[in-house]
Order: sequence, then C-alpha cells, then structure tokens
Amino acid sequence: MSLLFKNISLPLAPFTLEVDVEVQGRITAIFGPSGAGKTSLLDLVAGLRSAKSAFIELDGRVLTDTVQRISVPPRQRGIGYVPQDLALFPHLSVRQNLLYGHKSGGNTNRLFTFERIVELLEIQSLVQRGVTQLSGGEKQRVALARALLTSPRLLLLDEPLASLDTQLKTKILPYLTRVRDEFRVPMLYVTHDRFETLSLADEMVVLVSGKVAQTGTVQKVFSRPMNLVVAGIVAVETVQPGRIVKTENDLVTVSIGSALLTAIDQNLPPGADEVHVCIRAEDVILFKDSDTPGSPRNRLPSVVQAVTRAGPLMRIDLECGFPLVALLTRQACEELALQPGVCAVALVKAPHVHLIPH
Amino acid sequence: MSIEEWQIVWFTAWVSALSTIIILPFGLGAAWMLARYDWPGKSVVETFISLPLVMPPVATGLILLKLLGRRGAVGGFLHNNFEFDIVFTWRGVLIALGIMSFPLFVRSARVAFEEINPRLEQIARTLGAGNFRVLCTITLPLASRGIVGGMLLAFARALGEFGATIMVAGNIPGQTSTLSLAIFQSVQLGQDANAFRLLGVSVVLAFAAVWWSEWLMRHRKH
Repeated sequence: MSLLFKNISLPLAPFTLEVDVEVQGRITAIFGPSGAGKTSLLDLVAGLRSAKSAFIELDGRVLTDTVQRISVPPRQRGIGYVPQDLALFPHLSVRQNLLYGHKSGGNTNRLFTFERIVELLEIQSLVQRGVTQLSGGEKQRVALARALLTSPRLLLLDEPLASLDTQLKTKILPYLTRVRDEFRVPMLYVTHDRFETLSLADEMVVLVSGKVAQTGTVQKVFSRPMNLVVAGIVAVETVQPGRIVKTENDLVTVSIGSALLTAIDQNLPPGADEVHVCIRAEDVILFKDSDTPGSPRNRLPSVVQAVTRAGPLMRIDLECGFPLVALLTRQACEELALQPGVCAVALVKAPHVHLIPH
Repeated sequence: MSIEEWQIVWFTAWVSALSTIIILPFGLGAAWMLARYDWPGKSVVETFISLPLVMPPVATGLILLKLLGRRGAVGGFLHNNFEFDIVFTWRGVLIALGIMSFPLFVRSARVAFEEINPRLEQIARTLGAGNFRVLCTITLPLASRGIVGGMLLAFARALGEFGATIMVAGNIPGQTSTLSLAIFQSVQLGQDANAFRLLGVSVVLAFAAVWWSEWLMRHRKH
C-alpha cells in the first residue's frame, strides 16, 4: 500500500492541518493528542471533507487533487471508514447494517464473504438483533465488519478502542490483529494509545497541532523520539533533565539527579551539554540484586515507590537518584515481591538511554 | 347531522389533507435547505416562511386576495390567459390552508433533519451509497417521525383555519364552506344546535390529529 499526501492544507479552528507524507505500512498509526487534526486527516482520505489544497493518491490512483479539481466521490474511493462514534444506522438491524455496503458495490472479485467476516469477528449471534441492543464491544465489531464487507482497499479506523474500558480493549484488540493478518487490508489507525500502536501498527505518523512531528517505524519513533514534544506524546515514561559529563569511545556519560548513566553517542550537536534523558519503561530490567557480572552498562540501586496496574502490565515507579519507571508482567512483579519500600537493582542497556538535546 | 353538514365535514377534511400533501415536497425542500446549508438571505427566507404563523390570518388572507384576485398580479394573469379563477373557489380554500400550515410543517421537518447525525450519511457514502440512496435509506427514514408529525400538525392547523380562508374563498355554501366558517355562520344565524354539532366533529378531528402527532414525537427516539 502506498498512500501519498502532498500539500495538504486545511484550516481548522486553532491551527491549519498541513501534511506532506507518504505512508507505506500495512498498519500505520496516526498518533497524536486529541485535537491534533487526526480525524480531519481521515475525513480527507475518505473524501468527506474538502481541503483548501490537497493531493492524495492511493496506490497510484489520484483521489483528490485540488489543482486539477479532481475529487473522487466517497462512494467510489473503495475506502472503509469506522468513525469514532461508529455511526451504526439506528433504524436498521445488524444484518441490514452489515449488508448496506455489501449490496451496492457490485464487484464480483470479493475478498470478503459475509459468512467469513461474520465468523471471524464472532458476530453470528448478533445478526438478527437491533443495533440499539448491542453492547459497546459488539457495536465495535459490527462497525468493523460493515466496513470490511465493502472489500475496501484501505481501512480507516478512528480511535476504535477509545470508548472501551481496559478489559474490553484487550478483548477487541485480537479481532483487529485477526483482520490485519487474515485480510491484509492496509489500515490507517488513529489513536493516542501506545499499547494499541505497539501491538498493531508497523509504521506511525506523529501528528501535533496539524503538523507531522515525526514518521517512521513504530520502534524507531517510540525509542528515538525526534524531540521533546514527540517524546512527551509517545509517552516515554522517564524523561529527565541531565548533563553530559564525558564523551569517550562512542559512549556518553550523563549525570542525572544523583546518578550517572551511560548512553551511546547519538551524534549530538557539539556543545550540547544539557540533554533530556528518555528511557522507555519496557527497557528497564529489574533484579533483586546484581552481583553477577552482566552486559547492561547501567546498574542502578533503587527503591520501589509505587506499584500500579497499566493494562496487562504492572508499572513500577522507582527512585534511583532520579525517578525511573519500569513496566513488568504481573508474574515478574510477584516473583520479585515488589512493593513500596523494597530495594531492587534496575538495569538499562546503554542503547536504551536516549538523549535529546535540551 | 344533515347531508349538508356531512358535506361540510367531508369537504373540510379532504381539502385539509390535500393542502398538506401539496405542501409536503415544498416544505421538505425548504426544511432541508434551512437545516443543512448556510446561504445568503437565509434568515430573511426563514422569517418569511414563519410570517403566516405570527401575522393575523386575516392579514395573510388579504395579501393572498390581492395577489390571487382577478385584478391581482397572479390571479389576473391566470384569469386572462387560462380563464382560471382561484379566489372564491375551493382552490382558494386549498391555497389559504396550505399557506397557513406551511410554517408548522417546515419547523417540524427542519428539527427532524437537524437531529440526524451527519456522520450517518457520510458513512453511508463511504459504504457505496449515492446521494439518492442516502436520502431514501438514511435521511428520510430517520426523519420520518418528525416529518409525519409535522404533516399531522399542518393538517390540524388546516382543519381549523378561518381568517385567511374567509378572505380568499368567502363562505359559499356547498363550495367553499369549511367547518370553522360553518360554525361561525351558524352562531351568527342563532342556530346554536347546528354549531354545537359541528363543534363536536371538529374537536374529535383535531384531537385525533394532534394526539397522533404527539405520540409520534414521543416515540421519536429509536
């Protein structure tokens, strides 16, 4: 899949949405805080909104070109859209909702049959019901199935899990993974949740106040946020001010709080002594004690401050000369008997210490 | 009730129903334009449509009389070219009723259109539906209760219309005499018994129409 945005300019209330980007991932997360223009971007792709200027091309086919005055109507774009409020038709039954786009397409080479989609998303038992009798998670699956039944070339999902509680989220996520793996429909996935992004997407576009702040693979953006704004948005748990004290043999020593950390030299601009130190919580390893030699460069004696649930994982707040956050599985947390006041040693590999010039 | 009285009831009912059906397409168009689009002069048109609701009906009737009479702009043209008369015929009654009930229908239909989540229509388009299919399968069904409710209100308004009708159509027995006109005339002539019988019929008709309309409004939410 190749989706090209050029010269997008759409004035929104506090800012103008301006995007120039090419998206090629199987699932691309449009990541950003609420009000960043993410939904407006999806509306432009679907053809539901017109921009002041825009050029949008999907797999070589021009969908919108304000210069040439081209705008393919939404119904001919072959793009499935699941909006945030799902927009299930309240006066129609689940079956009628599902078949709404199935009938009118008329193309014979359907990838997706009614039976297969209904089975995959486990909505067989709901088909005869009215839309208003469905629970949140059921509505979500019906809306997804309805969009899939049009055999879309691209699927737009607008915060599909945002309205669901954590427990339900973890139930719906596997359905999205199934859709990704079974149907191989490329998706643009609007979200501000890193768990969803990490578990589904391969590429991401970070959108802040209508501008693209960073693009790249999910791993790259999450582990190497380009600047502080992106670091804050992708929610790298530990972002602390530090000072470079030594650069030697491609290794950088940073003083942070009362601790010293080793990072690898990331071609920081010369003279940049003041940095922000970013460490993702997943990259922190905890040991009860660490007398055995090991490869991680950073060994930080710490005291547990708090233990809280974070989705399927546990979040451990540590004090090791500066506040550090670790994410562990519940089992690991229980084995180490972690609770406030307990001592532990935090290990962080040098490449996982990311420095952003201040 | 006498045959003449039944004729009056029958005439009033069908001319009210016909006027409601005639204003339906125009009312839907106006409600749609007011609900969905912003255009220059919208507030003027909006006010103009509502005028018959707030002006004395007799004043509206007088304007219609001047316009549609043989010496009026529209009436004169029709009379001279087609020998077609409106004033003091049943057609005059029809037009007076239509004009007087139009704003009630437009208001109700407009609210119905405004209440529809525009996302539903947009998503229908992404599912492959063209404008006409969206209108028939999404917009009109979702607005249907408001539209039907508006029609019943318009019908009920037409049943009781007096001022504009008497100006445009007079009160010609067997031709333009409606329930309200006949009640007024009976009272004028001191035939109270006749007046009360017609009164009873109009109460039943109006009650049924408004009650049905209210019922539809209450059950609007699906």
